Amino acid sequence: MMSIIRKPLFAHYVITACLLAVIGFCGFKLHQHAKYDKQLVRAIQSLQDGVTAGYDADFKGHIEKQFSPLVPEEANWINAFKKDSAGYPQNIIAYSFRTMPEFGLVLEKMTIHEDTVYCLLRLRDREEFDVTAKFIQKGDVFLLDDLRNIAAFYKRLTCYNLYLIDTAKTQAVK
Amino acid sequence: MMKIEKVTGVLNVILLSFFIIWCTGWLFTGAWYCNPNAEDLSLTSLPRDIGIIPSSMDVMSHYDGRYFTNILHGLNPLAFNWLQGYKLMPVFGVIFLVVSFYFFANTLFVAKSKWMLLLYAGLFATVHFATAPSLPHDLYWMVSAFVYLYPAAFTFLWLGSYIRYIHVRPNEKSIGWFIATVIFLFACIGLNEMFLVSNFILLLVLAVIAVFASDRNVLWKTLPVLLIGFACITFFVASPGISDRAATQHDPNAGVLNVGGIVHAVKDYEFTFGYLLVNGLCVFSSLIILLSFDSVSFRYKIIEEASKPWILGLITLSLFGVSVLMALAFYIPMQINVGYPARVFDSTNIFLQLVFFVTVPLLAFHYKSYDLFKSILPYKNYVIFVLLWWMIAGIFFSNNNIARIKREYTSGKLQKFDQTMKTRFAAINSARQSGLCWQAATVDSIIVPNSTIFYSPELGSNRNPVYWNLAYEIFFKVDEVKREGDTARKVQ
Repeated sequence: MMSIIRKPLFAHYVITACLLAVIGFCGFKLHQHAKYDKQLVRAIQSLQDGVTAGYDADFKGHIEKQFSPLVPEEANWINAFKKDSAGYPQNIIAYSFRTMPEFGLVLEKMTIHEDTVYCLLRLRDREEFDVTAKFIQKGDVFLLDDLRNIAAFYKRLTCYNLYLIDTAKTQAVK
Repeated sequence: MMKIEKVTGVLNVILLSFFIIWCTGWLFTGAWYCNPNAEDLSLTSLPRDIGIIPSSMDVMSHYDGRYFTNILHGLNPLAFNWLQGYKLMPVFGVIFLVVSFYFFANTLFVAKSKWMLLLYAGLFATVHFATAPSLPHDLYWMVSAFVYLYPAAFTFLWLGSYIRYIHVRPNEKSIGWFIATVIFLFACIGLNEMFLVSNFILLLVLAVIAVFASDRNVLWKTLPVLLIGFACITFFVASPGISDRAATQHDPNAGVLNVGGIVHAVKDYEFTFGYLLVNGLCVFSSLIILLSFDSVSFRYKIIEEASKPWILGLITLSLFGVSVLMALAFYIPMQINVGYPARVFDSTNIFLQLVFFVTVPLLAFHYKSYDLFKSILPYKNYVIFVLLWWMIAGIFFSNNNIARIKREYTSGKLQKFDQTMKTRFAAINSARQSGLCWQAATVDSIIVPNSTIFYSPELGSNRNPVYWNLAYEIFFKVDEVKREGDTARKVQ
């Protein structure tokens, strides 16, 4: 038996062993990836819950705490996730909410209902933003159902030089 | 008399060639007008943007275990932003089935003429496409063809390669066929859940043959193929995406066995097989094949032994059984209520066609000495002549895919569809090149969405569902694609 394997079919069995190793390795990596992916989904859900709870000083910590288990091992995957959004920084956008400029739209309320984040925005100074009034009216309710949508929303605002401000700073402006 | 018979024989070859060229001509005409749907765009943009391996891992984590289908999503014209190249995919699909079946048939039989074998393969492919329950799923919708057509072609390729591999002596020289077998088998298993069934059964049959073969060399040569085959099946089935998808599509009210699904499957199977019998193309092809050859010679002894009537009968029953099990592999896990899943029978029909094109004619050869056959044989060329005319008339006037493509072409439906898509792509490209910060395109809706060359998913009105709008936006890298008349904005 061994002589058969050793001589004429040696190359066949070497190839087989290599292929089986590759398949096994791919299976292992796939399950590892799926595990991290589930963690990220949980983190995003927590993030949305954090948004619902409102902005506060702990929000930054809250986000970082949720994402921290994914860093650094999953850093590459997070980068891929960013590219997947066709240039929209999907996961970074969440952080953008805490680096808002001091003028623009007032975010009055964000609530979550059935996996949808509802953002109630108010124009701080309507006259300054005539152009934007074509697509954003005072009292508009924006439905942001996923991070990609938030990213698109964020881009749409920035295209018209509009920025979200956080409620604490709004009070200061007022 | 002999001269007339000879002339009829030549005419038959011309008629058969005409039938095949006519059918492939219309299939290629359809290809000229076909365009990607939203799912083609959504599935090819991910591997294009993040690479084949990360995108495959992403899909296999959530949706399926189709590793090779996911690889193909990154290896096609759309993944290289070549929209016009999409029209080549159906042409490739037709040629792929012809070539793979030719290779398989050439492995089984020694033909007097390679051209006759090519006609045989051409007939097999054209009859398949003419009778496919859903031609878009089978051929024109690229990502669907990866799942429902390509595995059949890969089955022919790996089986043909395996048979050749086993017979190459000395063993050292068989490495080429071994690698071919392994590559085609790996590809075949990673394309579709339904073909897991056929591949699993085929591997089991090979295992049994190898174990009981008098030549132990067959066992030692088959063992690596079996190991790789079963490893690929395990890899597919154990993918996390399989369980995720099963969970989302599980009807909480359905039982584990899903009896309703089985009853549904049997009814649909009856309907499909009934159509194959009634339309005549398969039955007439079977008769033509039987009458065309006076004798049959097999390339390998093992195939000759397998052509004994009782074994052929068993293979015929097995082909029916495999096609039933493949259909059940769709119905049982899919516990959600679906209509007639035509695409499932695009794949199972391949196995049913093998009954008409291979096993039944071979079985009938054993009874050529019967009086009925003997009385027909002197007039066989005339009988074939009549059958071919019948088939040509059928392809012109009956309800089949070739006639439908022709009707849609002459009514201008195909051209209108192509024009709508060209205008749509031009509008999107124009938005992309506008230099505006917010790049938005408004496009026309497709008036008649489903045809022989196109099948939904398509943009819904008011971004409902939003997924297909996102598919366009991500593929073309624009901010917003909406249909004419939409009142909803991207961020609503």
